[in-house]
Amino acid sequence: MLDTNDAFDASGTNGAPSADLPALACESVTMRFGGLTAVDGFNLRVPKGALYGLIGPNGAGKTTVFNIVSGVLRPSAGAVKLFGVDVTGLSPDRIARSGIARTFQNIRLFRNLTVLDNVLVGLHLRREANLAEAMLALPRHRAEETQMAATAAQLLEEIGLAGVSHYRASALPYGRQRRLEIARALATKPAVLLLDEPAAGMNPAETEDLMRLITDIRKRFSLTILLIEHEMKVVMGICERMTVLDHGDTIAEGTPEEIQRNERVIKAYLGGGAVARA
Amino acid sequence: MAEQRAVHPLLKIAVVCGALILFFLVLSWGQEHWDAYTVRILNLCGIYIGITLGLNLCNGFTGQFSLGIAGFMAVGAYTTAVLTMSPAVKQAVFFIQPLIYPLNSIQWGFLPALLMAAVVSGIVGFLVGAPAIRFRGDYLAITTLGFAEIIRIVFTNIVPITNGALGLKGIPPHTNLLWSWGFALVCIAVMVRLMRTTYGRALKAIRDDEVAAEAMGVNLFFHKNLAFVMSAMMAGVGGGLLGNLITTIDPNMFRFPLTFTVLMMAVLGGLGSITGTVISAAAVTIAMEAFRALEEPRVILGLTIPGVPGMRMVVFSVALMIVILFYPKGFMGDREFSLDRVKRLAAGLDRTNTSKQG
Amino acid sequence: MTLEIFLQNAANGITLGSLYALLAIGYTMVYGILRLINFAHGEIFMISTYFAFYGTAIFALPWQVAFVVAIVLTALLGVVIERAAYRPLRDAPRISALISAIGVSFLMANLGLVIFGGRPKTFYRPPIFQVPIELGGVRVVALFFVIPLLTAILLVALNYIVYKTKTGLAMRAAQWDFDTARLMGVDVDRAISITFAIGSALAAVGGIMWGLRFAEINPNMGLFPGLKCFIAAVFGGIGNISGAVLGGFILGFGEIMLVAFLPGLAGYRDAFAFVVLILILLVRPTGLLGDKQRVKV
Repeated sequence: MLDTNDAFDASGTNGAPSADLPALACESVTMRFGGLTAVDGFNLRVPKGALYGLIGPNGAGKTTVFNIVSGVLRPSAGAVKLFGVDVTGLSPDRIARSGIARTFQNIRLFRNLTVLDNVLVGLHLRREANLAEAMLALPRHRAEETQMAATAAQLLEEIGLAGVSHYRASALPYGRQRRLEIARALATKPAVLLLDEPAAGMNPAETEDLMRLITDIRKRFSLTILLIEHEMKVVMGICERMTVLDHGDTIAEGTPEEIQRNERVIKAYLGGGAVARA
Repeated sequence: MAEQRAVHPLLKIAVVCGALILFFLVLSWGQEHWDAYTVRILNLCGIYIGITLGLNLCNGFTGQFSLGIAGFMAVGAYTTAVLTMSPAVKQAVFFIQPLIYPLNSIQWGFLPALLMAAVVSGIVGFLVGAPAIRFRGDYLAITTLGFAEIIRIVFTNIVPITNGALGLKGIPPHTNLLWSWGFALVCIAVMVRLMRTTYGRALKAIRDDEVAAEAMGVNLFFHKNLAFVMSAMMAGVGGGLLGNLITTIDPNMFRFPLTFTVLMMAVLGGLGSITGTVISAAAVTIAMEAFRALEEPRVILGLTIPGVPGMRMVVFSVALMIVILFYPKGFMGDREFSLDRVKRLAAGLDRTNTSKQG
Repeated sequence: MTLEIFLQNAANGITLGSLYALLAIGYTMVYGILRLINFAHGEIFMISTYFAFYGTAIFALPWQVAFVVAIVLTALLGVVIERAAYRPLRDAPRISALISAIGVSFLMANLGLVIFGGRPKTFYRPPIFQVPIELGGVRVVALFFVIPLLTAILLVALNYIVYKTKTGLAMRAAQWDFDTARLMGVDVDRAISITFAIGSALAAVGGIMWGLRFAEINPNMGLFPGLKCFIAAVFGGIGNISGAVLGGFILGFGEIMLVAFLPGLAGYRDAFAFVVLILILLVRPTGLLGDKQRVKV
């Protein structure tokens, strides 16, 4: 089974992760694009093992936060910490190696590769055999390739994509493509998983499946999950806590019940455009 | 699924070795006995297969559209030429300004010279690639084209090293069928091996979506440069073989039309298929020679029909346009030759081909 | 270097700069709307000179007519190329369109070789442009004033079209996003065709001026000016017309001055543009007047 512990060794606390060290934290993160401030002094504490939501009307800055955390953007100010270790501004590949994986709002699969190959790419960063060993087909490389194939196959099995492993990724129906993206992210052995609108474009039945999948993988892979989502059913259904963003500012933070009753949130949604569906 | 008898690995190795030995025996014999024209074309085929595979690695498999290949061929060609020419010939050829020390007094064997060509073009490849690789699509294309032109212009001007616009003559004709096809086979082996490893998958992932690849932990700088440098090395060795085949080189050989020719070979065969590249590189090389007839004057029925210079490239440009507009994936797309597929085809599939196998 | 020599070189620089500017505009306009390097632009420039040449030489048209006809034909050529080689690939991966552009460029250069022959032809230079003028010790011909003047007039006209007419508005809207523009009622295809027509027409003006200035035309003349002018457009900020003009001037002027001040480097003259390209892409990839762009994730 994928063991999250060998991905990231929680931080600087002599091996024993402190109970109140959040898995992921944003401290006063600010992002300015020229004259526009997309995110302003954003704070976030996601406890280890939590299923945490990030919601807000369109354009609120949610994906910007994801891009900052995953290293695509360097924040204008503030810090991102993974189990207390500062990972601000690291390149996306180093962030992935540290233990943060993500999916994308518009699915970004490797369209011309097979389903299996997509997942195998996720395993690439944990390779131990170097290029020379690979080119000379030395035993350590070959053993590793076999191991990777087995791991990938098992992962696909657990996600429910085993039967289609040799299909081209672009041939999959939309819902399964989303699953594949998640499987690929899981292959990187993350401690923290960022899901960007995983339920977008899904019908109610697919959404139910997805909700089950997310809660399932959280348990099975010992993940901390941060979720951006518009679909209120998903957010209220599976998130334990959430932060609400509007125009780059945090307007509320709390449990689903608290958020649903929060007046600022209601106003932001009804005033801003997206309709809250509970 | 068709049943597959497990083939004993030793048997496979024996068959492959046997085939290789036979292949090289035939080439040796052919080198001696076939006419010079045929030998020359076959040499060119082998060389261009290797060079085009290099381009395909960078442009096709990794999706980094580089137009710099002529530059790296030049680097390789000049390196091998200067190293393999005898000091006496060098003295005669470099009559404007003598070749610098120590190059003017050394003479290396062919293999060390080719290896040096690989090293030098690899280094130049890294110097070009490291800054250029951060650009996408068209910018990378124009930047690499710029670098190739700079290399050519520099070669035209640094007379004490390259003899400038006069070029080099009297390069020892070391290239024969064994060398050129050995090169082709090595390149094929390297490509096949690379694409079977996790590194090959990473390169293809970069091609398909580099943002996602990076997010999955693939270091773009390392992998893109890997493809770029390997591609440059293959082009460099190919250039070296070319120089020692045609025995004279000058900077004007390594202009954009050369890059275009290699690019065309790769596109026609399928950017992303090793098999396609091999087939189309050989086919285009042969066609290039065959079409040369279009440009020579011919006498038909007592009438001299003048040749039309440039007609060859018009035909090939049109071919490229047709392919890119109607068959953008080229001849093989991104499929490869495989015994499995041949067996299945032979067994007569009546299943309709859904977009399955990738 | 005396003042005289400097001024002589400056005159050459301004002329070359204007020519590069005219050509660079075409690149930047096409790139702005299609995100495509129109590799064939240099060849369009080349063919315009031949249109003018044949107009005066074979059809014996008065030069004014021949030149106008050449400009119109070139504009048409640009539109045809877009329709045939680029439009079908609009939804294809970017690399396909790039390869197509390279293919068209190569095809036209070789077609030119086949049809026009490789030997350079002498461009007809109407005497009015060859009237000698002496100014401050510098001897030039009237053409040296006509070129920058004409360039300036065309720029004003272009600015008017792009910023003050509905057509220009359509072109600018299409630059941002096709679908949105379409929803706003913009005929995107027409906007693109007009962009190509204008860009090609300007290239034709540049071509004719080039012929008048340098007198010799040959089928391979498009490659280097083409590359250099694309670089000029990038240097100034791709997608930005003023940037292209600025880039063209700086590049043309710089090239002349390089050779003037450092005659030992004359052999590297053509490399100047490429060095500029690499430097600008490393230091400020969006160009002098460009704004920062970003890949949407």
